[in-house]
Amino acid sequence: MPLKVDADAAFLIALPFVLWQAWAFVAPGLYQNEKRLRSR
Amino acid sequence: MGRLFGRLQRMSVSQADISREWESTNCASCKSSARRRAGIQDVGRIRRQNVHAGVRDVESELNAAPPRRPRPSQANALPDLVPSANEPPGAWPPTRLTPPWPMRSARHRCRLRQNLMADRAPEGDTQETFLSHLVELRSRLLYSIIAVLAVFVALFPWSKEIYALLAKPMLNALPSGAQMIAPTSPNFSRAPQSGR
Repeated sequence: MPLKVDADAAFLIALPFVLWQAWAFVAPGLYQNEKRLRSR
Repeated sequence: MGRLFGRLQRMSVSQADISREWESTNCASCKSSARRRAGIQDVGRIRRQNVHAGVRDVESELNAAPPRRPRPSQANALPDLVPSANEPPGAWPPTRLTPPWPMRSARHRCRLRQNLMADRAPEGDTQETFLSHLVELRSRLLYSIIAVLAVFVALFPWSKEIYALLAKPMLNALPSGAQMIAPTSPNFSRAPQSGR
């Protein structure tokens, strides 16, 4: 039981990094107008 | 911004429109096709990368009434139609679009158009393959999982404390003497352990 809570907490703490990885995978493929939207 | 929206609206043309427009840039006067020069193979990708919106701009620009021939004193000051070398590549629309005087030959027009389209074309050679995307996805997923596991291991010594922190409100709400059924460390229940 504490292990489960530990895993959840670990995922929550690592979530920014995971999201950043996902963004880094997607971002180079954006169209020009989407990039413009992002940069604003 | 309004310019962007206008371009987006103009994008809503049919596939046939696009291919016709794209084919029309193959010039009869010179043998090389603009499409080949631009390194673009399929029309669908052109549509996805919004190239044709700009193509129409170039066409209208080329077909517009030619400006007056400048006086010799102004000839050097006027910008060139071809994007100059000091303009950053990929900047679109190019700021220097006004031809100094009427285009003289169809060949010249074709070359200008090809230059413009090659500038605007997506980087065809640097497009990555499908497999490389898979490899990148794999590495990204691996890094994510490794990060989660690392945090998990780092938190491991305090897992019981975290659990206690989360269970504390419920333990407070329980009637004294009750006990949590979940397998916990023995110091979790508030009531003294009876008979065990």
